[in-house]
Amino acid sequence: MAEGDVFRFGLAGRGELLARGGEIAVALGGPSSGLGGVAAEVVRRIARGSRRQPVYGFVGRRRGLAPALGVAENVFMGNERMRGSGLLQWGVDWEATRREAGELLRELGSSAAPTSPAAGLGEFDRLIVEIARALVREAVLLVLDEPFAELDQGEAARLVAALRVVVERGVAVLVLSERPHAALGYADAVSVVRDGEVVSMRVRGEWAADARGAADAVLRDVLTEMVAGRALVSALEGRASGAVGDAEAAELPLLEVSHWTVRDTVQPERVLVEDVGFAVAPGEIVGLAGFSGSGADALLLSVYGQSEGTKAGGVVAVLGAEVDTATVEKAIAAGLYLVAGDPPRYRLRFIGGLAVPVSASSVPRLAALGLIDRDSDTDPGDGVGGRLLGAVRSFGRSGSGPDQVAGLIREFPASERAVLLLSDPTKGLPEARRHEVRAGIRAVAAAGKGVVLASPDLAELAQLCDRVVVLADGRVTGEWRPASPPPLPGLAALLAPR
Amino acid sequence: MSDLETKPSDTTAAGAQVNPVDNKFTERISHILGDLGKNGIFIALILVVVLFSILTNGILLRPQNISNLIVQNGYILVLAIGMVMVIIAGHIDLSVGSVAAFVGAVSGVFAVQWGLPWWLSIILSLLVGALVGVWQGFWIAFVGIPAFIVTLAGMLIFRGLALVVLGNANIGSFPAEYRALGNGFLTDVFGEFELDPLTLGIAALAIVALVVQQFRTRRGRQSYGQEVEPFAWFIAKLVLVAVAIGLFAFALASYKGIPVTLIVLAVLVLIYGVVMNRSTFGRHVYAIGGNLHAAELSGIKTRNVTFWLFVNMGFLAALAGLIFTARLNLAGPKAGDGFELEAISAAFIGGAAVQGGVGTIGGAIIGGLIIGVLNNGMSIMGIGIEWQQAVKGLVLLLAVAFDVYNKRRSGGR
Repeated sequence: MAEGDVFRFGLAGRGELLARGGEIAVALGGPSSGLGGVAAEVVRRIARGSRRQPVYGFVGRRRGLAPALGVAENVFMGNERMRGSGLLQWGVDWEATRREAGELLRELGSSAAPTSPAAGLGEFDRLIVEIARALVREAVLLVLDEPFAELDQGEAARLVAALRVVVERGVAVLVLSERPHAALGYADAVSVVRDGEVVSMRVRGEWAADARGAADAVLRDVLTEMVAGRALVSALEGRASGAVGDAEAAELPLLEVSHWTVRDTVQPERVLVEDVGFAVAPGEIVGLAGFSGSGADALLLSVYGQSEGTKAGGVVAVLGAEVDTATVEKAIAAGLYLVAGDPPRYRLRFIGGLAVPVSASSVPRLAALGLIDRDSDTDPGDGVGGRLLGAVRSFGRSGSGPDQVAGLIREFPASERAVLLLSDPTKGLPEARRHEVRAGIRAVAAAGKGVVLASPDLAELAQLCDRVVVLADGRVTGEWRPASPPPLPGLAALLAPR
Repeated sequence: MSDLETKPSDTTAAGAQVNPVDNKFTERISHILGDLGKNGIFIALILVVVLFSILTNGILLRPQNISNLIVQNGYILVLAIGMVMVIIAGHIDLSVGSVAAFVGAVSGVFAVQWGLPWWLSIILSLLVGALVGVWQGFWIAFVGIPAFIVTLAGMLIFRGLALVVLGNANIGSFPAEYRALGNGFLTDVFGEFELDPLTLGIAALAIVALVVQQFRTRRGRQSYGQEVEPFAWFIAKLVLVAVAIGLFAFALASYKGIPVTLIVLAVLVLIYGVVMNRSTFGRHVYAIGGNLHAAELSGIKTRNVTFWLFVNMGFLAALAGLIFTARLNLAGPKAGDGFELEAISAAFIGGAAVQGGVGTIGGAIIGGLIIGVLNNGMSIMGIGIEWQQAVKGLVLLLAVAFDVYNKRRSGGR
């Protein structure tokens, strides 16, 4: 393979990502930076690509293994080793498949047995098997989407070594990541992507040549570039000029979550949220900031009826009294209410035929005689129930689900629930509707209710929140007030996972 | 590819490192127990056979009945082969019964009404079945409509077309050669004997082939450092299977010889066994069922594989329809009723998984035989069709429940 092949990925905004043969390039960016689009584009090119296109390999966050098949077979999936050659082929050569897979895996630093089923592989071996598969396909570009997220230190080092083996074959490696600390350790080139644009590009010499000082400076710059979108800067400036409101006096917190720990349901050894606590006072808006793997969403969904992961410990208290939120119904009874702007696949709930991404919160109000009155033409009344019913009805009908989040938030002040949990409520909304949603959230707080707002959009948090709790890797790394924010590099350091 | 083909090294491959076990005896026992779990269906078949031999006072194992068992269930076994492949790929086919009826009717038109030669009728009928598969495969693979919906529609469409072709009447009196497909025997090829020598000879060949193949596999595994079962247990299993084949052949030989249906089946099992284990097509079917996304990203043309899978299913459904029509010497509107459910049951009893990616041709055949023995045994006992249905339903549920339990115990998720 000729060294120096260059692959380009255009982004929505300015600039493009480059990956060179024989180099590990890392593209760094937060959740709404546009990197997700790059991953989707790579997958699209592989799945729909023609024969003449160069071969790409993609290693995603999802497990790309057929669990019932053996490790060797997973390596050679789609490129089976055949007995004979040319036109005279008679069947899959299992012996060669196992032998070659074993050699390749060892070269990449994995000791997975070629004959064992792929279902039992750990995360590191799974990555290696998928990388080996890309090599077998003779991929000239290998794209990995956040491969280090679930590896421990030793495994991460072994994965870097494996990637070195890959680039030594002349393959171009492009890693999409939100972990600048680790990236500076292994990358040959680092690009920062923000708001769909390439903000900066550096090559290894700029941080590795000098002593530690240069590396630290580059890291600080990269971190700052990752978070310092124009929107955030102006939002922070707007807040700083305002009065410093010290809302939380010695009041009893409306909602207090302490020592909350959540584990993955399928892989219990994986901790999604570890020993996290936060409190919301009446009339307060508390933000949960974090990148996509930070656990902010998992935290909200777990507190709300343990809708995600397995709870491994922690206490929820409402007005100082401990409450049980083990199911969605109990959480509602305790006074919580969740609205998610994004209905992720596994969280969609069907309520009486309504596909509502709001959870079952509104059901008690909608039910009459235990049945949900969905299509009644009679006036549902002008009480809260009626208005909520209207909002939910339009949810079920119109295709534009996120558009209706505003309606549910608008009705919340009149409901009996005390705390509104929001997960990325403005996702996919045009700017005008965003203003409406934000006004609604402020109104909820003005009515003396508590709001917890999880969002990857820092500018939005800076505009709305009284306090922002920052999470990274499932832990709380700090807290800041938009009215008196920390300098941007400090904020970025809190956000970036290790 | 040349850069990948590193030279074979002297060191033997690492393989699975077996933990040293102090007590060999417990190791063997645990191995045998684990093996019993893995071969659960096979043992279930033996249990069912033993149970019904006792309940029917041995009628079940009479030579004539054993021969009947094969002939009566041949079409279900043919369908089960195609069905398990479809299920491995993560799909389902509800239309096979209707397609079998439709093709049976069409073959009646060819062979009886148009008077075409028997062999041409059979070839044309199989082609019609494959075309049905092309139709369904197109909607499933290229339009992307779930197989459940497409084949549910196909179930209605082809049942309707079967009625249209038959025009409210049955078609009967098929040519003798055609009928042989369903109830013919290879009898007295070498003259008349008390025991048919051809049957015994083929059985002997089959046993030798089996033993050789088993020993080769075992040696291959050992040379690769993989764990193999204790030698005594290996031999015991081989002897058991060899004796079973021998007794089966003896029964056939002392009746009319080898049924034509059995020959068709044996050829199919051999071909499809190789296709599923040794051909890229078969491995791609497993890959698609195991992880569609990964298969797509590995460059597998998932749509083409799905398409050909359903063409193949249409072909096998047509073959099953021909065997059934030939056996009854009648193409009727009710033919093939419920075939799809028996074929699906056979695949699942035989260890296929609902989520796809798991299953074997052999398992599906054994599953089909279990259903066949249940049908046959209960009929001999004079149990009504209503109870037969209930029992078969229970067996399906228990078989899958046992499988799920087994997998969970062995640490799977």
